[in-house]
Amino acid sequence: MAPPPDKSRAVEPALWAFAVSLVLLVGPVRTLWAAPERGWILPFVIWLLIIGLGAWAVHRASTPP
Amino acid sequence: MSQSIGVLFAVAVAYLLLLFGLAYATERGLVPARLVRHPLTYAMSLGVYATSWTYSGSVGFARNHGYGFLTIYLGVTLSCLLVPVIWEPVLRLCREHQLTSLADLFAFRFQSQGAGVLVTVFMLAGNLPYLALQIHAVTAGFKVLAQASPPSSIALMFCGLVTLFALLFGARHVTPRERHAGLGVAIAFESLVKLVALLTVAGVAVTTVFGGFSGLSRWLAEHPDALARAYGPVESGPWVTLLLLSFAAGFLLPRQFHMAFTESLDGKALRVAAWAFPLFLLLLNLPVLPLLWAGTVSFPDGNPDNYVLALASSSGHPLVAAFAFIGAISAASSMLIVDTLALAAMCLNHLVLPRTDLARAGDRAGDLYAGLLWARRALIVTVLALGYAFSRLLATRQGLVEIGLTSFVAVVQVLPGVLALLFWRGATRPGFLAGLSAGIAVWALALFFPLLAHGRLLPAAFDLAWVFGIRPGTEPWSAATFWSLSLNTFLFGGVSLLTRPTAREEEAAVACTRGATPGPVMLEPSSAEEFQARLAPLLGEDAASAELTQALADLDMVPGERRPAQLGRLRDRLQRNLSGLMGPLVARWVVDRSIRVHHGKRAPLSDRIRALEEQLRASRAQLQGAPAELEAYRRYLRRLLEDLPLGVCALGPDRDVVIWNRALEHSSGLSPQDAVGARLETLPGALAASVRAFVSGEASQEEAHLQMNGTERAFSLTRSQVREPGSTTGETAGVVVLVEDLTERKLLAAQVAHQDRLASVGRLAAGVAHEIGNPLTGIACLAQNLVRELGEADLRDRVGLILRETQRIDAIVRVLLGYSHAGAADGMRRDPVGLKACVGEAITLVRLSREAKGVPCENQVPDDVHVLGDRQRLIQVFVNLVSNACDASPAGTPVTVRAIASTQGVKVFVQDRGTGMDESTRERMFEPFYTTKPPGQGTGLGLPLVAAIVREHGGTLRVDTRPGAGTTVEVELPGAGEPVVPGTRVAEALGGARA
Repeated sequence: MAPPPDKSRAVEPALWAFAVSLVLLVGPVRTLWAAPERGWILPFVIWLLIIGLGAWAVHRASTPP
Repeated sequence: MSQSIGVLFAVAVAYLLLLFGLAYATERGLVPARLVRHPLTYAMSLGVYATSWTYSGSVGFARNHGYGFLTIYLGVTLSCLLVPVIWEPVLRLCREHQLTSLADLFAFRFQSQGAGVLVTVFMLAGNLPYLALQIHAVTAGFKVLAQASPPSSIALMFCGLVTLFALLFGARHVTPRERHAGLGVAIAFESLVKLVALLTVAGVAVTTVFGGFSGLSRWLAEHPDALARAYGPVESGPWVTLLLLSFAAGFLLPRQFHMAFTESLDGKALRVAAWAFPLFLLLLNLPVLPLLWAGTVSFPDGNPDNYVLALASSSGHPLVAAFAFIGAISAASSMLIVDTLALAAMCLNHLVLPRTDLARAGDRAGDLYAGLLWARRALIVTVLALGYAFSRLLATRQGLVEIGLTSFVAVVQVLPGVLALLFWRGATRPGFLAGLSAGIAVWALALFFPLLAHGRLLPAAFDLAWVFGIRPGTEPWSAATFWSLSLNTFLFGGVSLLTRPTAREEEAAVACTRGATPGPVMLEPSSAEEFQARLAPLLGEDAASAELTQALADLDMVPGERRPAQLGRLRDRLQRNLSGLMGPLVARWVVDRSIRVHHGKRAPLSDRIRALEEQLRASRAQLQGAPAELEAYRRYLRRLLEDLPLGVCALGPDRDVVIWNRALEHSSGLSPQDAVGARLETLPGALAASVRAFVSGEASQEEAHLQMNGTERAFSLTRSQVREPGSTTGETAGVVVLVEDLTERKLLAAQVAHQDRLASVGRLAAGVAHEIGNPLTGIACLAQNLVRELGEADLRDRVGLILRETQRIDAIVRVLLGYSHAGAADGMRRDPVGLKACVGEAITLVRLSREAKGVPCENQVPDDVHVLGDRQRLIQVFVNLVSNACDASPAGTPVTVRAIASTQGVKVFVQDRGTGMDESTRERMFEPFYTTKPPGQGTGLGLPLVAAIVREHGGTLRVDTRPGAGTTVEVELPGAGEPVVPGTRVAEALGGARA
């Protein structure tokens, strides 16, 4: 009988990525990138960073220990 | 540059025909399967999220809310971060229980048809404006590009084509067991078209309006207020609210749920989509601001929702305009198709089927599948007709985003339910219904009724948004979301805490939170074959047969299956498969009604133990402290039983097999997987039959001799009653039978007995020889004296006869003494012995007595072969062997002695071409006193003596003989120089001799 998969291994990186993204998008850090002098492309760079975080999280979740 | 409506319509039709062709080619297998099943194709199909709102409305939204337009996609990105936390568990649930929509999910979790109906009606109401919006966007596209109002029939014909596509490629299979590959590829293709079209228009617009991206940068530098306006709403707008709304919409909008979970590939594709889908959305939104700024410059007073098409039209490139129009068509059509399919499935399972008398419908229609398929198709047409009607009635004053966000606020109302479904087993049906009803009420009062009132579908008095502090001219979503979601969550949590879930709800909650296997039950039907007859009255003969066959195949089970636990699994599988056809509750009703559970009968012990073990296994990670240690101890004991080198068969009170360990598997050939759970009476094989007979009898121990695979095997069976733990009345919980395989042990015992017998014979021979030897010596001496002293010839002859007979008896006595001393290797010499000379001497001795017979003996032993041993005893060996060979050979046929030396030792072959030996002789040839020679010609001690001497030398003896084909005796002896360990090859020698 195989042991049940370790759910925390899959879930924890995702929750960390989610928390960091929330800080970037909702927290006071938002004022650092949401400023006209930063140019119009910076929000997309932040978005790309969050996507990268998500890719890292799912990769960690998929990699066997 | 305007286009004619006819041309635009032709372009739209051509594009939709291309989509038909692509879907058809995929369904026919003409598109490579690798592409169809590629995770990126799946990720692109999730791009159905981007509708006309994204394609056209985002520019207008960005005009009014700056970077706030990004929240509609950043929220989706946030939800994609939680793919392992939320999306994957939902996918697992949908797969395991064949759930095809949100309504199915809630109906399953709360075991409530009311929950399914409420969610279905709410989703329908919440999405009708969204469907209408797409149709509006298409007619608006015609209007912008043709610069004239298109006839109303254009929208109707567009809806007709979309409906046809949905019917042909979205409702091909009635069951979600089969994906609609054509639909998935077509929707992914539409996403690609949208993306490329928007990027193309943006590129052309920036080039024509600003002269390129450097021109855009200059323009931004000259107009700093443009960027300030874009960034302003990030601080002050409904940023967080929109993030929350889109977070939920990313996977809970009916079309998203349909593509993400119902038409999903697998978990791997979902994990690729976790980054690929947001990346697609990012690329799609990258050109929004450049398009806004280009539109602002080109059409300062224009409607920003139309900037994309207007900029394409004014670019002067008809192909760009046509491509932009195709992008708009693709954005609208993909949403219409998938949303309609999802809503139709919900309506079928929760509004139509629960009100259908399946038994009567089955009798009339005969074919359940066809009936369900046609009902689904009719609902597709109905939903699209409703969307069209809504688009005709709805005023167009609202922007695309306003209508879309009304749907988003509706969808977010099910978010508390989904989170509770995955993480809170205490959530109850009354709590869910109360919370959702409150959320719906606030949504309707704050957003939906005002939308209808503005569209003149309701009197202005229904605009009660002010109740929630929403003033005219202000954005209503923050207040509407806050009040609806707060009230929803508060009531959901509060009522759930005040009420208790039903047993079925608890069972479903366990299945949702950690996955559950069916509990132990006893069913009325006693075999899988009976299921079909019981399902047929409700499903029809064909569907009952097909569903049973499918379920059996899913479980790799045979129709004759009778084990209660397996029948329980089969029932559960049937229910799950039917859930995909007709929703979880109707499926449960069908199964409950046709394959009834024996509520008064306790499930077999094996089933109860299995269910308990599965529960423990599922919750093992949560166990801590003493329970965790107890569980570890339980597994240790379990392992001990499984690995015990003694067969253990534990039977429950109903004679169902509870334990069947590996040793028993080895003895019986029946695996624990096949045996556990089955009744003892149904197990095949001789050993199972013997255990069955033993358990039925009175004896507590017995020995069974069974013919298995052509050999006789012996087993010892011992049994003991198992008392029910805690029982004071002596109630038994079954029987445990220990099965010991005695076959090997009996064989060894027989060998030992044989050796003992031979040793006894040896001791007897020694005693007899000693007792006879002394008087015999006296008789011989007296006889010799008489021969010398007697004068009469006749008397001398008679005394001579006595003397010969005493000599013969003396020879026998010597052989007996030799045999009795054989095995006592302590005093044996071990010197290098030249084998050729040894064999030659033996042959000479034999020739002295066998010369008259005319059997030639050939010594073919090489000169340089030496063995280690006692020369005299080895001569005795070869005298016996050659003598036997000569006796067995007819006159003129030679007896040859050969030898082969190797590093392992020396093999000597004594071969004759005589009569050979039959089976019975072969078996007894080493028995003392057994001889085939006539009385007086053999003692029957020659070969036993040979075997004993060879054994003393640490050698082996093999005999190859067949009747009529001669005999070859192979003696293997240690070569000279090899260390000799007396007795090490005794068993081998015996084994070889028997062979």
